[in-house]
Amino acid sequence: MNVFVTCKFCPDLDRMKQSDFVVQEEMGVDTHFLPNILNCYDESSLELSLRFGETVKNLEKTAFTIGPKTSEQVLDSLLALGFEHAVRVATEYDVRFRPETIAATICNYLHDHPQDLLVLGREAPLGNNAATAQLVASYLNLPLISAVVDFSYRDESSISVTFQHEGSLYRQEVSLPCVFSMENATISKLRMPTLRQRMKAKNCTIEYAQLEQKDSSLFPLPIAMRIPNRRRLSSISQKKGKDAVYELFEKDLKKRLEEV
Amino acid sequence: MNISREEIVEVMKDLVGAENVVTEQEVLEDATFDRFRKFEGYHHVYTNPLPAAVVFVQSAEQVSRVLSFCNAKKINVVPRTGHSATEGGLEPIVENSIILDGSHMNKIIDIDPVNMQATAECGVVLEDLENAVRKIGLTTGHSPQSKPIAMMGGLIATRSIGQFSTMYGGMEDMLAGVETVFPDGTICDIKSVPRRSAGPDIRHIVLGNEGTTNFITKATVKLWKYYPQYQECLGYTLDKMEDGLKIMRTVMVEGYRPSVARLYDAEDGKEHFSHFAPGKCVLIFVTEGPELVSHANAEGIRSIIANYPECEMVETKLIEHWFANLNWDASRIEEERQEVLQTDVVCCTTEISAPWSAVEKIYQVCVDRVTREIPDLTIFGAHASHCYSNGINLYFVYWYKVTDCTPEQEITKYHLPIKKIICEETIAAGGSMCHHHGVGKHRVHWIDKEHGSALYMIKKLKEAFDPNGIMNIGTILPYHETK
Repeated sequence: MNVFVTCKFCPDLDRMKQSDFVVQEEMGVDTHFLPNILNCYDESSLELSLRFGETVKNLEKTAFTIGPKTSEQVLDSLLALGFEHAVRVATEYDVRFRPETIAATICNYLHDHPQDLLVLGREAPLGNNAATAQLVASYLNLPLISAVVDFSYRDESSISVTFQHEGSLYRQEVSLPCVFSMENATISKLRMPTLRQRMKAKNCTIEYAQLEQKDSSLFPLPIAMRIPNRRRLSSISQKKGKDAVYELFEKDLKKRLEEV
Repeated sequence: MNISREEIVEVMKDLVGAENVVTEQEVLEDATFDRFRKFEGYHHVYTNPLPAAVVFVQSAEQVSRVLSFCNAKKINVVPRTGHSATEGGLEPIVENSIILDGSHMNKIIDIDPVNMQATAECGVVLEDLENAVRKIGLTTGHSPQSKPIAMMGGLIATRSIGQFSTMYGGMEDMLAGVETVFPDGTICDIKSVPRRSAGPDIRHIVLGNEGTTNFITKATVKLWKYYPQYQECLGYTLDKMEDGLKIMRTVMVEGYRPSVARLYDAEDGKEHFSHFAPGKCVLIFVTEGPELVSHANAEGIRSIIANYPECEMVETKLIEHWFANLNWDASRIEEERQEVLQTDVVCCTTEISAPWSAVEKIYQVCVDRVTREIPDLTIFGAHASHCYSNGINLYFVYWYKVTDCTPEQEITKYHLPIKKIICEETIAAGGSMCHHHGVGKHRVHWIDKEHGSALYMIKKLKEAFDPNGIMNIGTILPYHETK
């Protein structure tokens, strides 16, 4: 069995202050000064795939990313953690708001490297599309399970999957091959490789794939951008319990809710 | 001790008021550890005995009454304010201890812009004091990473130091006067003067005592004019730690005074600079002060670095943004807790100081030995962040994945063996095993080697001020020494 996991190394927007949000040309925000992180959906996808691999004999795991050279730090870590393949699509092309291009690139790779299970994060900044998993499933004519929060091995040809729907959790058994779109899973942190694992993986190499550009007929590009007010407020009440809640509501929250 | 737990609690209620004596199980459990045993704490494993109570005091007089009683009854007292200690200094290691908490003494008493000093009670959060003096264009010059949570009492008790130390110094340079209470109930107020030669500098009986001889209730610290508009931020990448250390030494020896001087190795830097310096060491200087001083220091540093072509300049905004996000507040600690529980990967630190002639060797030996001898490490790196004319500190940062052991075994399997290597190698090379976190209860194993013949003075101080051995048993000196 093999599993294919996509990931994206993206700027940590939580580290930005309101004053840092500056609109650049091409409708983007300047984030070059931010450290990069894996977004939570991808982190869950990768960690759950590693856990899945611990329960399945001879599972071959592939991590796939489209992004700059700095993404290779994550791919190196994934190789050290036991991914058999780490693939990067190196491109200068702006793939934000172009889910069809991303999906076509993934499918292009999968054409030569067919997989049993495709695990894709629901979305990732910058340019959240929340459409890639759906498009990949559509292009490959595979079943898609959305809002996945966990999955486990059932047998060689099927998987038990847990997904969210309207606040409830459901379990389903699905036949392979299929596509998962990962939602907020409880398991949201990717493990770190040990120094020894990193040393052992030193000779593992990252593979490269090509970008497949596809016109966005289904997804027209945005035409305008506005930065919302992300003002944050902290307030400490000297009161306790219910009194503190009322005070915070009267003093701060009420006014802000009225603004909304 | 000839008194029951219940009797201790009743007396405490009489002394400070029932509302200030907390005996809830959860609070007592939380009081059994500080950040040294955070892994155990996150797993709700409590290896130290529960204290009898956490007692919140409101005044020096209350502290005096509580200490007098505990002294008479030989009850162990663990002084505490911000609860951000890292070396186990806040652990109550004997039964029926009292956690004496000064965090409710949180008034800023006076800000004196004429004499350039501020007086605050022990429970004032450093960030609150800093924000108050910033409103009138002044600064304490003190900015440890724990600034949002650490309080004045603890900062003095551990000889804290901050990120701007190369210009403003450590707590020993900032403390002008201090009020403190001894176990027999004596309240001493060391007056605040610019300098004096009236015998030994008694501030140093208070500074760094880690709650082992007295309980700090009030402090006066120096203030400086704050000139953010003239700050210059310089960042460089380079390949080798030894080159960075040479540059830092030259900057200090030539007489320049940046406020910040930091050097990260590639491993430690991974956590901070992977977005612009993967696999590289990073060297950072900040200069500040009056316009002419700040720019002259920056110019001098630039001219020194020009002699090192391997240094590549980094865009200022990258460094400024990183620096603005360096401090730890309560939400960051909560994030860490969640991450540790999910991954079993823990980050711990040990900071040392060393003369210039020994620092490279200490760094190399520790990296070699720890990475060879300790299992399950995910990162082992270091940075230097406090510079002096005669040496520098090294702050070892290590992450390990707790594997095949229980939460209570984590310390003996990983943290203490790493600390042992670092402390022993540092002392052997002529450095100090503690730069600014204090000895706590987990570096006492090497306190004799640390002080050598001068340990006599530490023991005599303890005997003189705490003859019954009731103050923070097992801190600075091992328990068997203080019994």
